[in-house]
Amino acid sequence: MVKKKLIALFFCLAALLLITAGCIGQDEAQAEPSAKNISETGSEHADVVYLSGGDYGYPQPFTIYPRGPGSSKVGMIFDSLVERDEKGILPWLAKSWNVSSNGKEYTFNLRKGVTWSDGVLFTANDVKFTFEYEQKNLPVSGGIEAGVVDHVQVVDPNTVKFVLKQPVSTFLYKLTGFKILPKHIYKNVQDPVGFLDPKAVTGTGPFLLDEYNKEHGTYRFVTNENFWGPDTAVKTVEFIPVSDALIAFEQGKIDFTGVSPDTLERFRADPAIRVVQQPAFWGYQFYFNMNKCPELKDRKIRQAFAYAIDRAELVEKIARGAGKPGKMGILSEDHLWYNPTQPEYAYNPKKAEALLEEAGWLDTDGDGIRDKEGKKLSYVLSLGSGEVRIGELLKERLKEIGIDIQVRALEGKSRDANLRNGDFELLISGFGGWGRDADYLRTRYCDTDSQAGSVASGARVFGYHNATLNALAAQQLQETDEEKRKEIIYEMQLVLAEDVPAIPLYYTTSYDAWRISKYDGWMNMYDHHARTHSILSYLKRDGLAKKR
Amino acid sequence: MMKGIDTFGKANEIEAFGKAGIFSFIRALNHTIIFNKIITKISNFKLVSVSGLFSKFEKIAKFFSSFSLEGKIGVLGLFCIFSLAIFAPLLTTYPPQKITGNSLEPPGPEHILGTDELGMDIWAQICYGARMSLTIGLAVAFIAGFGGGALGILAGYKGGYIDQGLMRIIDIIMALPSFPLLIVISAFLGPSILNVVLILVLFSWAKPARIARSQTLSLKQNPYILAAKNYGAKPFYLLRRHIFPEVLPVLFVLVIGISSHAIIAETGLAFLGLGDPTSKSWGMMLNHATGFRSIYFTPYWKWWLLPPLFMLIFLLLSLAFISRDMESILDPKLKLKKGF
Repeated sequence: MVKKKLIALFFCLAALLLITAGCIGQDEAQAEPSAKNISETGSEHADVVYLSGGDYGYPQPFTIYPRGPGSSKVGMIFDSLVERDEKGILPWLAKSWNVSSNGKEYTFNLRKGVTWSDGVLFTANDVKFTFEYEQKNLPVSGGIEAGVVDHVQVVDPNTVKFVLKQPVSTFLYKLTGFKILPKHIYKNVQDPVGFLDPKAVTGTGPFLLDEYNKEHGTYRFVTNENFWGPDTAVKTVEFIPVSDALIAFEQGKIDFTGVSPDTLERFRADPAIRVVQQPAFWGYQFYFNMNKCPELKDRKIRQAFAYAIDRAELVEKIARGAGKPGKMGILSEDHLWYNPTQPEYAYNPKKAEALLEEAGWLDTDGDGIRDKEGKKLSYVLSLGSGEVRIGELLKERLKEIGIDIQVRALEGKSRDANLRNGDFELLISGFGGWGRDADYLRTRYCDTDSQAGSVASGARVFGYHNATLNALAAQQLQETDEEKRKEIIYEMQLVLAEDVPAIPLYYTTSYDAWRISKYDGWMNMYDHHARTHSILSYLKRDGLAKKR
Repeated sequence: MMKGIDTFGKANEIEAFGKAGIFSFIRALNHTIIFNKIITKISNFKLVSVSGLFSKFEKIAKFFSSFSLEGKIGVLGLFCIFSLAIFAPLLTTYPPQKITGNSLEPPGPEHILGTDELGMDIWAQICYGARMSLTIGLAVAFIAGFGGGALGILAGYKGGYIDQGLMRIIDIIMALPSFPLLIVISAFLGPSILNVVLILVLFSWAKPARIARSQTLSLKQNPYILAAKNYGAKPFYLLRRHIFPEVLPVLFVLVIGISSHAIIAETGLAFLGLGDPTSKSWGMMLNHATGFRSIYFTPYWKWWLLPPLFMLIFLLLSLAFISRDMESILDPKLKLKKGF
């Protein structure tokens, strides 16, 4: 009997194979979306909104993880002096501000009657304290760069003055990430990284942390009834763990999800679901380590890489069409200050080969790998385990022009550590923030300043030096005239595109989907890709937060 | 001869319909026919050995007929996978690591089983992936099975401190939770095929060693071995002539068990992303396919996820059938001999 059963099982499996093989090519019967009466406008408030969770650290400025949406969770509890909406910067804890004529003094008039969630009054002293505290204890994100501010002066309890060492064009913008801490709590904290007390999340913001579970990666934020600003449109925001966001969304477990391009049609047909594409502000960058591999200091080799890597193919195959090919001027097409007149670097292996030959790299021993004076163009490409397919594609394309690549997949965190320490030859890393103020061209590609603690590494780490770029960067930082500054940024993009210090592979333009009957108030900040990261997505859009 | 022409004619017909992939498959089959013919021709030259070969073949056929039905299916299945692995270059029109088509082409005349998201041929990956699975499975099984077996025989024969020491080491290794440790070590050593083989060997030599030792201990007491010893047989002669052949059948069953275990472990590691990321093994294919965002909402899983899965199940099932039969065939023989 057992024997028969075994044979039967075997044939069943064989039959299953045949059946599924038969399925291929047939169109799946598309289930018609059931006709429901849904208002086109969508719901403007909700009691609870569920989002896909994950552990990104305790939501205070010093304990979140550098990667992932930790800082947006801090933003639900803590306020900054100024906030961002769809169009630009708007007043937040600061009601208004004046800039002195020399551009070095910023005087902020703070809102009156704002209290911390424990009832203590918020004053200018908190602002001064936060600045001084964060000079000693660096927050994970949103800290003010060292050497920018000379000192902070409390004029009266509702007025605070920042005195800068020199005019900095991006100062107000940088303040949007500068979350104000309660002085009466943090003044006694020596080590904020280990401060995991419930008191650590005392803020002035619209939400309170009701629950955080590190193991499950869950957060629950409830409305702060004493919030000074506009009412919350979502009373409770809950982040819950899901194994597959799309399935959870279909089952109604979460109310907002990213949609892969292949499943787009499924949601587009449904009028109850809104599908919107994100701007291209999240991207993959390909790094050259010129400290470890000095031959990469030759611009021609880096340009050859840029010509040989088919970035449009990466978008088509890896991003499944939901992306934009990388621009050598670094800024993406969707950036406010993108310079459209830069060189294109379209896929052109012939040109790449010509450049390598010009630089003296020839395949002398006939093994398919170019060499020069005994050194072969053979590199180890480090990447995170999620980027292996990008690596495979690059390996194929670079082989065509005689560059050998060995792909080394690392766990994401050790890849980030290697990038920070400059312990790599070539590396791929993906991160957000490409929509921010173009000043990041300075922090990433100039070796005068180095941004510490971030997922994008500064030029010093990978050994890139360009005096022209450094000079332009310093100039734009001090230029307070927007138009003139824009021109300098345009020029910086041309310099970068000519020099190729790193290759942006592609920027993702993922799709977001949500049920409009549940909550429809999602908005994008003008410089950011993710709707769930903006605090205004959870607030009623009236008063100072009115849609512009 | 007529038959050969016939298949060729049919192949041309099929080609006329534009099914170049199937044509290449048939052409590859013809290659193997020619290959077999060459072999028989070569063997015809050595007329002397033919009768020996024939009797050997008869022996194998007899052995094969003692298998149960599922055992025969197993042997046939294993034979198919082996030929898939050996003749991979003939059976495929594309190399597995080259981008030869568009992204995610459904199965069609150009690509028999379609392509993955990079445009690499899935049929080619299946064939070359069989090499990977079999190589790792066999390498681990033979090193661990026969290496561990040899150690066990030596320990059983020698006895004393060597035996005691070895047994304690085996106790420790058998008590270790193998798969979690496997994950930790391979994450630490970094992904490469050699590392995977070494780690798997490290965790699978203990069982054959222990069984070989116990067999040796009981065989050692047999009167014919004692007699041979008294006639002045050297230990090495005894081991080679009398003990090893007796232990061999048991080791063989174990080797099959270890190889299926090693194949699963390799696939598991690859699936978890701890294998060589650019290698084309079935586990890696599964890893890439399941890593593709919301693959179950798309039709792609049918030709991307299912083939490696079925091949894996097929291979493991074949091995399981064979090892079941081997056990039942070899065990009574063993008992019979021991009863002497």
